[in-house]
Amino acid sequence: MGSQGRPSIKSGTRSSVKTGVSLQPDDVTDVRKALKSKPASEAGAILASYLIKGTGVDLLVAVCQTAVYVIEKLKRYDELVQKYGEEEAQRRISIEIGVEVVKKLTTDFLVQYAAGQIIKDDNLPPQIKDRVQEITEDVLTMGIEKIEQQFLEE
Amino acid sequence: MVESIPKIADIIYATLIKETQVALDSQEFSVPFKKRSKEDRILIKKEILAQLKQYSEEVAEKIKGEKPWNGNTGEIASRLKEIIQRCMDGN
Repeated sequence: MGSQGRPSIKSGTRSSVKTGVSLQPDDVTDVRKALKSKPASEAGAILASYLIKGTGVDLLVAVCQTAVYVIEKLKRYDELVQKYGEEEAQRRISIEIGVEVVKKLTTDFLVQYAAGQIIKDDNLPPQIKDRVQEITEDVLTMGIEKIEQQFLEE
Repeated sequence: MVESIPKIADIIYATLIKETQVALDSQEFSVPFKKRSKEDRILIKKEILAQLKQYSEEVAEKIKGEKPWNGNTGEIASRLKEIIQRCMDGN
């Protein structure tokens, strides 16, 4: 078993997605620098711009969302280490991530359940069902607070 | 599944927010709305949000245990207009 076939940001050889231009060693250095020194959202955007060279676009969105989340958590972990030391920081970060993941899963499930309650009426015109589906997806992906914010800013 | 009622309210609330934006961009409301200052427009929208939130909770309660959202979209549309008009008039 060597490193052959191992998914790598450097080589862009993830076999399950269509591949684009391979990333160069300098690209990886740039990404590393960004991850160390930039705020999470900016580092995420820089990472995204490099990942787009090496991966399919469908995967990209999921990868970027995960990357931004991980970067945020790494930064949060650093803060916790400074404050409480490594052992306590590990305990706290595990709880934080656990709570967030469970909350997200529960919310997703409840929103989907609620949407099902609304649209299961056979008499409801298909265009209204479609609209409810569409809005449910927005509630799931953006959250109600962002929908409110978007409305205030439009 | 007690929490599903607030979530139904969220979906209704999101729907009403989007429909309100469509109404505010329509001929009926866009001219008077755009005449207001930016600060005024934000205040009006905040008031609209408060009223939509309350209304969506009412609707969610109404459909609880009944056949869901049984299609009185006319009533919802006229209530929306009323809310927008009232908030623009400052009542």
